[in-house]
Amino acid sequence: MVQQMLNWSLVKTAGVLVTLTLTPLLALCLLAIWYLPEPYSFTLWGLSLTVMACAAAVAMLAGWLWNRRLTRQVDLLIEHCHSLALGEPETLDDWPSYLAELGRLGIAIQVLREALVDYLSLYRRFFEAAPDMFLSLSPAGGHILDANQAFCRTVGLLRNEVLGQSVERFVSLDEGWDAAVSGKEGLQKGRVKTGQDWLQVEASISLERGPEGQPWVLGAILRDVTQRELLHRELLSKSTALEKALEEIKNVEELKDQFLTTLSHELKTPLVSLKGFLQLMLSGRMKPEDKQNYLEICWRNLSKLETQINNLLDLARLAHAKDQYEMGQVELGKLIRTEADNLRAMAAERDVSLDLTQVTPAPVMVMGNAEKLIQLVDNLLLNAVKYNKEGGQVTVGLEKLDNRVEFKVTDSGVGMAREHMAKIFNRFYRADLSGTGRLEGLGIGLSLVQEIVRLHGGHISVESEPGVGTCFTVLLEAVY
Amino acid sequence: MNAKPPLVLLVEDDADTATLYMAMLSAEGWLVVSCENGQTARDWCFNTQEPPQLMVLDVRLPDTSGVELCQELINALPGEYRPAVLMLSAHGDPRMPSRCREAGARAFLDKLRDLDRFVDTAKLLLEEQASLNNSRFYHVNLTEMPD
Repeated sequence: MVQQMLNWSLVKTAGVLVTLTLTPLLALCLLAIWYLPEPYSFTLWGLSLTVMACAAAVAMLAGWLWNRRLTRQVDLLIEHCHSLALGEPETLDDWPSYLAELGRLGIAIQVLREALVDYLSLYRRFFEAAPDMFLSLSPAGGHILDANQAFCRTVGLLRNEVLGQSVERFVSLDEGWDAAVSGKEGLQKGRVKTGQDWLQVEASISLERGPEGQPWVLGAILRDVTQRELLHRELLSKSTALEKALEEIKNVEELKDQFLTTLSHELKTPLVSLKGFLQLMLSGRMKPEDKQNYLEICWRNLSKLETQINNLLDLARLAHAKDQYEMGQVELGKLIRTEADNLRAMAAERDVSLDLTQVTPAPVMVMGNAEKLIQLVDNLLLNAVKYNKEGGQVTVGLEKLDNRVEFKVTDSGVGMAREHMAKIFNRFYRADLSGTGRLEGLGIGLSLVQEIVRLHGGHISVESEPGVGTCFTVLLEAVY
Repeated sequence: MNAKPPLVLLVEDDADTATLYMAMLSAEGWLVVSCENGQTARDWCFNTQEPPQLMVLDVRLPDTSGVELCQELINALPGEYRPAVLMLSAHGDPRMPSRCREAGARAFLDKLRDLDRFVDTAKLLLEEQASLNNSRFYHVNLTEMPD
């Protein structure tokens, strides 16, 4: 268009020159031809034509030169605009002064460009300074058109290494980019690859309607939520732990209430008989032949009371004053045989046999407190007899394994379900192992056993099968 | 002709305590049937030809709660045979007397109370029961025994 305009200017210039030069000359020639005689008039005609031809040639040459000058300025202007478009901060300072016609137009373009750059730089600075990752994407292909510093820093690449790449190479959305492209609204969760690792991000996808109404992705803002998710998970796990602790506290409270009720019952019941029979004897209402029986009942209940109180005190003492027990060498085999013999009468009453054939005849020495070890063996043997079936058997085993001693008590009783096995060592836990609905004792027997095992630095475990029986295994350190 | 002695049903799981109460109740010349758990008591009650005039129930039984047993037996026995119920407990739970009263028990005693108190309460309940049976006047409520 500019070229056309220039061509038109050339023609116009040439025309003006020709008109201005030739019109008076032509008028002069016509007057001369009209008034001058013949040889002079022909000469004048020739001269006029020559001058006209020269004027035309000069006009054409001037037009051509003018056209060249303007074309050069236009080329310079176009070249300058290209430089500006490529972001080169080139100014028009070096514009040749002898080509001033279009220079002002160039300066106007530069002013416009600078205004635009200022305007865009606000957005660019915001884009670059954002701590979130900004990505501009090609609507159809999902290729990265632009990425801010936060993104380049995160992926550990330079901007030109990122531009043009598929966004899926760096960013994966939990629900996939297809869902994002299909116009799914709201924040989406995803991950950004950072070298060998992944950052968890929250993605806000910018969409636009395409020419046919289809959604197009324009870009994405990605926020690093790794730390937040980590804290969230931590919070969640802490909250779960707190809930669990609260539940445990509630259970402990419940257990405590149950324990107080049980304690009251277990301590008061022997007292009721003791007090009642003593009152009967004191009041003189007792028949003389009943005296022995009543005294035996009193004695039995007194012993029961003593056992309960001792167990309670032992448990408290074991838990808080482990270093106060005197330790010495104890021959465990002999101790087990003695305690089993003491229990034989009670076992026979319940038709339960005690089998000690698996107790090694060789002396088995352990370092421990003899009194507590007796309590440990007693408790386990007593439970095995008590929760056995009629005609059942209790097998006791003792053997030396390298530097450890294994003591086993196996019964052929009611056994227990897994839910009980996890809790039987808990203080005050009582399971209906007899199957009668009766919850006997204070629920501290096995807890006491465990405390004694701990006191000796040992380990206790239980295996059981409902209806088949239960086996307690105690491991203690051997002494040579 | 001597009147027939009252029949007392004693439900107590601890053998020694049961022996004690049996000795006390028998000493009064009453007939005592002793059961060690709820099921035995239920079986006996539903099969006996002669319902008891007094039931002495332990609150804590191995197979059921004494409170539930009290309610069940009172509801099961027809009005004219409905016995007086004395509940015994070693619980020390302050809510227990009112729970027993709601279940239909006429008296509640702590097991550690004086034995004479136990016998006196049983005696009083039997007398009231006799008077109720004679007058067929049932809406007397004596659940709270004065100290």
